[in-house]
Amino acid sequence: MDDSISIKTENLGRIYKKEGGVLEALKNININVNRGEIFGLLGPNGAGKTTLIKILTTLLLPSSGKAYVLGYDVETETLKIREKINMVSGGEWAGYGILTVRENLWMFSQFYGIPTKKAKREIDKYLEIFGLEEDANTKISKLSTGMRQKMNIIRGILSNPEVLFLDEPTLGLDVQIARTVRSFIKVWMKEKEGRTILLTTHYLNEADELCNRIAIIDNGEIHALDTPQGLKKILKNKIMYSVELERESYLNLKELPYTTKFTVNPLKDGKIEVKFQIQDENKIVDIFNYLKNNGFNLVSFRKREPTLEDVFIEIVGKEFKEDE
Amino acid sequence: MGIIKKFLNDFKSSFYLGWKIESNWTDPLLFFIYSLAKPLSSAFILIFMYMIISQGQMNEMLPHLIIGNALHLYTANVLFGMAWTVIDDREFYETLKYIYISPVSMFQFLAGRGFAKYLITTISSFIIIIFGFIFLNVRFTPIASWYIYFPIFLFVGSISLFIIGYFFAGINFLISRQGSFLTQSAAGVFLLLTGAIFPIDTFPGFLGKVGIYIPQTIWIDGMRKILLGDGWNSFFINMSINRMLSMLIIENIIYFIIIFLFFNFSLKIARQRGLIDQRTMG
Amino acid sequence: MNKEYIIRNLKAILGRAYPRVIAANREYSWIIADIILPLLSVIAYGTLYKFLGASKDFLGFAVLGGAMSAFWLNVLWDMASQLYWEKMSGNLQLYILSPISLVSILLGMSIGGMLATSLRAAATLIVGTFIFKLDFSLINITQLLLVFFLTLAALYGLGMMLASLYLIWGREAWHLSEFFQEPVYLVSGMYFPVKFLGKVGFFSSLIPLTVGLDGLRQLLFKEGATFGFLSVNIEILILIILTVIYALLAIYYLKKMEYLARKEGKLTIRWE
Repeated sequence: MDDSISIKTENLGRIYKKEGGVLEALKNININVNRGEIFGLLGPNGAGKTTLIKILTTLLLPSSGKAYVLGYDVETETLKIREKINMVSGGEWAGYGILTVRENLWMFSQFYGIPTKKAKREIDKYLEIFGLEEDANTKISKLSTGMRQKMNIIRGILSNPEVLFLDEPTLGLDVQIARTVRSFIKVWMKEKEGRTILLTTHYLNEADELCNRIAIIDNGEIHALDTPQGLKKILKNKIMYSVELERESYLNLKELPYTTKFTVNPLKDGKIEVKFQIQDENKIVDIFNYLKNNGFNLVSFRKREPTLEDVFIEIVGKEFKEDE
Repeated sequence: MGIIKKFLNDFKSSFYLGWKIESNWTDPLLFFIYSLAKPLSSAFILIFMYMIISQGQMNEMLPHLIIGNALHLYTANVLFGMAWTVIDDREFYETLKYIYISPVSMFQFLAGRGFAKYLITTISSFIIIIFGFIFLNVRFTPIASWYIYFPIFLFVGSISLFIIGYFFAGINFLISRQGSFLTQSAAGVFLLLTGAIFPIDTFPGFLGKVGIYIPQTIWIDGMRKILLGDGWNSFFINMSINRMLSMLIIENIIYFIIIFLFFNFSLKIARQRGLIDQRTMG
Repeated sequence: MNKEYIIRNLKAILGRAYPRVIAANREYSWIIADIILPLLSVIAYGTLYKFLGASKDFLGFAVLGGAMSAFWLNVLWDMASQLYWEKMSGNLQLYILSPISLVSILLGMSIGGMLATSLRAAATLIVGTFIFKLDFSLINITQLLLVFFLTLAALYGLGMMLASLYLIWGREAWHLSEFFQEPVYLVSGMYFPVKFLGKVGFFSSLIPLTVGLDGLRQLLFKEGATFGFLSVNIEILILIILTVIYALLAIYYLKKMEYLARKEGKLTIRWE
């Protein structure tokens, strides 16, 4: 395998047996993740992201096809892969509540054979970076979700992995901590050449901010794979609007003439935000009139740049929701 | 009428919930075997110890031991069942908070859960006694009118089980998961002090007298007297069954008042300190 | 197997033993679970013997049984059910994806558990000896140490094997441990010499505590040999065989469990 590629899959498939048949969690996945890149997997729950991560981290066997991490086969060369990877999942409760943050991290470091002295030095360094030094001797059962996730990330990088798998690393974190985590990921990637991150996320902005390339995955299939900019180019000929409306009644906006891909998000104070695409910009006045005639008062409107969410809707044909 | 109906309804649903939690993890046969394994094993350990030392000679003590042990199972299980519910529902199922804020009173809820344990225990106690009858030559030599005293004593004694159960449930509202061990230890202490497997006076001095003030001691020895003609604790040996019954009722009333106040106090403190939904398992 | 891999696994054993030993000092609940509970049983059974007029050595048998029961509780609750809890907390998948053998994780748990439990067993023995004023007559210290350590080795081997089996069997590990706890007290002769169980003793000898405890009683009490089940040398041999068998089965089932985990994808998911 080409040394510049750190993850490669060839027609990778995975099925789960369930009552009354099988569930195809992954179908013919072909990806190449380059060394040194942050590669994003974007998709709703049940899309197959975690299954793919589990196969690549040797936790799960493929049902068909092949997968390689750093050139090693995930089915047969598990030890070689395990020496060079690590994984952090969002909402993870790993470790022992009875041990302190520092002790838990030390324990996990031992599974990677890190000499105690070095491990302690590294732990202290990262605790400081994440602002956890004051809680180093706190039992982890007393940590908040955010603090716990910071500890998990330290656990994941302590072994200095060549490939780091981050499965929804900011899930459930508040904005501030999620931001800290994202900044750290960027710094960590720059710190040493050749590191690779495979990131799954629900948060489109996160993928946009962090990833060099993104694969959009749904129903076990990759629907698109490109840089964030490249993905947005799919929509370069589309005219996109966002309008803010005030509702006089609890009317549901089920359709809007002349538009495609329109979505409705409730806002505060009874307002709603409607996003849509139009082919012919001249129709915008007709759209406003339609809204007015149906009891919606226009508060504001703007023409906007496409986001990854628009790309997702365009490609997958549905809104990006946490649906199963 | 409305109040009684509501009480029965709440009791019924918490009993049903308790029964489901206890039994629905497996099929009925396996559940039956599982429910019997523990009590029967501990009963047989005692029976073996007895037979080894008495070298196979049966004397009048074995029936006393069997009845004592069979009834002690109620104490251990109802007490543990009610007290463990607090921790289990709080930390494992995380439903205690919802029960607390629902119109069901915690008092009734725990009664229902305890009753599920009570019924399961009845099966194993019954089997132990039947086994004694068939294989160990245990013979009943009941007192006159035993058929009147037996149900009354069973009922009044059973109430004492629930009263003690509330005490430990009350404690568990305030403490972490160590409560499970505390409750188990409490069951062990009851085994020692209530004269279930040896007369309370086997212990010297003060320890040998504590049992008199525990309702279960009177209950167990009273049941022995009703079914076998005599008990084995010297304090009760010459006491009439009517007097034992009065004593049991009085102790029940005193304990009920104290424990009812304590239970409500515990709930109040738990609410004040935010312990109703604490998680200490992690 | 290179040197680096061996060192890493040794470190992993140490790492995983650490929380076990630390837990002994930090969580007082274990003191209640492992000292007070066995002690209450010991007092109950000892007093019953006293009431029945048994000789002092029988009280000693009960005290020793109670002390050794701490190891059985440890194996059931902190070994056999442990991988199940590790799965629930998400630790199991981190262990699987670490570059070490899962055997090291289980060995770490065993060694930590043994160390911590030895203290509790010793406490039960000391307090029981004090309460019932026991007389010991040490017959052969070499055999005694051999029987004790072989019992622990075989017992924790059994625990390691059960850990994988529990995980393969499914969701209600708690019930399994609950189910096994008391019947083993009975068939292993925890509180009376197993000799009195007759042929049942041969079957229950599959549980290392049965022969181990019998051997210890024979080597610690004057009347021990009179009530001995088999000769101590045969018991040592049985314990060696059990240790080897359970160790091999533990490794086999651990591999099988890991394979199933990877094949079916169930064992690293909570609530499956």
